[in-house]
Amino acid sequence: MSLSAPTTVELDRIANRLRRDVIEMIYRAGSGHAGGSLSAADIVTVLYWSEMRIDPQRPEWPARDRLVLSKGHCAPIVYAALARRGYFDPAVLATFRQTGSALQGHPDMRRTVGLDMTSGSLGHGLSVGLGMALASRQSGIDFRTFVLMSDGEMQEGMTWEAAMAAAHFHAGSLTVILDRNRLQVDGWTSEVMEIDPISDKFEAFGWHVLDVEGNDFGSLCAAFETRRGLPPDRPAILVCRTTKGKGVSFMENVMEWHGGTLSRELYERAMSDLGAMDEA
Amino acid sequence: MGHVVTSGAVVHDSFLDVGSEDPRFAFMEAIIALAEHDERIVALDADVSRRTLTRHFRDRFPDRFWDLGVAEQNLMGVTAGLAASGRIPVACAFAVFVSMRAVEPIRTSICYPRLNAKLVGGYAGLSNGKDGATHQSIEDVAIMRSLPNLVVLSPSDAILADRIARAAIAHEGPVYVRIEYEDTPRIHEPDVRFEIGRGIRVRTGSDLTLATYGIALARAVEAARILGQAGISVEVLDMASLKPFDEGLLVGSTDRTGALVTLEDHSIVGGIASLAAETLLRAGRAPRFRALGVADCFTESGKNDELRARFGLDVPAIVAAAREMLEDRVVTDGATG
Repeated sequence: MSLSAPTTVELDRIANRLRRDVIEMIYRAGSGHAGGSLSAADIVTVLYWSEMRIDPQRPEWPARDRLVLSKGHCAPIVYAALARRGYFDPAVLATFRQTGSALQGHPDMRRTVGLDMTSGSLGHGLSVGLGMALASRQSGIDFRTFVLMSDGEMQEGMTWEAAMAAAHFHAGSLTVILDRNRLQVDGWTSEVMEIDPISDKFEAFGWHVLDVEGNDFGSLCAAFETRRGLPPDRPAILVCRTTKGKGVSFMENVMEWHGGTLSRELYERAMSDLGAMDEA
Repeated sequence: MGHVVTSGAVVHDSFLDVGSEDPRFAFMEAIIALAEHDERIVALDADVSRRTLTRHFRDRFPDRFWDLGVAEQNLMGVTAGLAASGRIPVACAFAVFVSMRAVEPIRTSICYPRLNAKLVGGYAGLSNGKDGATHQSIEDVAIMRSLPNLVVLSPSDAILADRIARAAIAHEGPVYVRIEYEDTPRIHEPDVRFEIGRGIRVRTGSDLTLATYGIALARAVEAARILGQAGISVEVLDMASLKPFDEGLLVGSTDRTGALVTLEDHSIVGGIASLAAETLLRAGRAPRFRALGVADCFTESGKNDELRARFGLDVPAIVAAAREMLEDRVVTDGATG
């Protein structure tokens, strides 16, 4: 069930909690993808605490809204959200990436309660989300499907096969949230493989397109509200401008923090950054 | 006699040169019949619905069918999403593209999460002779059987196509069915039983085991008949369940015959030749063994049967392989005796 609408202050506090979980998980695991998890933290917070119709007590509820984490490497932020939202004990977060853990390096729906889809291979998620949207229409079970994507995976051909098909089939219950942090493994997307003008591309494919500040709760909440009011004749994409590594000073906009290991010192600095933010 | 798929809609059209025994008709008839009673069954295609016959599914259930266009990867991703939401999708395209263009979405988004999706590869093997190497599927068994959780099935005639369609839908989990789109005689009895993981002994014999799958079965049976006239008793096995593979049936048979020929309209790499070799070695057996298949080369355009002759997969090739093998045994036995 949806919670009573949280304030942006509450959302901010939750997102900060999730960011600290992400840093803790990646520090303990000795690997993991911090940058994209942090850029998407505010989006994920709004989804799980405000936007999605879900019930952590009934993770298999057929009418729940779905999230496909197409950028599966950012599993830590979703694991943190699932744990803090009550799908499983937050103590499990400490096992991330360990042998035998319920929390795999990339999401495994058969191991982790609350995950709607297995993911990790970039470019699959939009197709999968479209399949879910079609399933909702065909079954008459009313739910919405959200697909959280990275800007790097806009370079995958399969993404555009799905973008074309989603408009063709008028998949109005489908919403893509693009975490537009502008960085990918080899550098800036503009240098590796330009994806802009990404909004124009989706518009040309027949989508509703919304421009959003993805690390601003006011903008995010307003965008989701706007999206709900859009005509249901086509899918929608929220192009969210975000900062990779958001919230940790030495990670922000630094390509090297796409993935990596945290030393004790950097871990403490990161937690200090997030602690300071929490108290601000 | 044309097969009637739905409510009087006769499948035959003049554009398709197909006969009444093409296994695809029985397969799609069974899928549609099952879908009448299970609204979770939906179908998808990638712009080949006239060939795969999903067009008839669409006509019967227009709200339960999606043509994704020429986009096999998206076809499999959408299939995954439908299956993850409680639907039973039957995704049809050509075997060569299902097994290669779309293999990674199948692996990671269908097999890894063990989703209940049915993947159908049409024009398997050499059944699309004229289109040439680009459209012939001689690697799909090798590729698909390497994917964990995936069941791999291959009907040898129209009767088994019906049984396999029903078994695939009844199975909870991902299934790949490779179907050769070509007229082929009915070999199996109308009441034949099929079970995933079980092969079928089509003919008993004592001198040689001939193990095959798909429509090559008809050639195997004909070769066995000819060899029988020459006094060579051939046991024919239809190994329609390629994964899981009926190891007991194969080992039990070769234990009695002591000689094995595998036959497949597929590469000798990774198909039944490999399956048999793996099975027998694991079981500590070493019967005499010959593998008939496409010998690790690309194929070419031609009539289906001419290609089979060219690549050593026709009845004379089977007979010759069997004779050579058994004559060799006689000579060896004589030398050591």
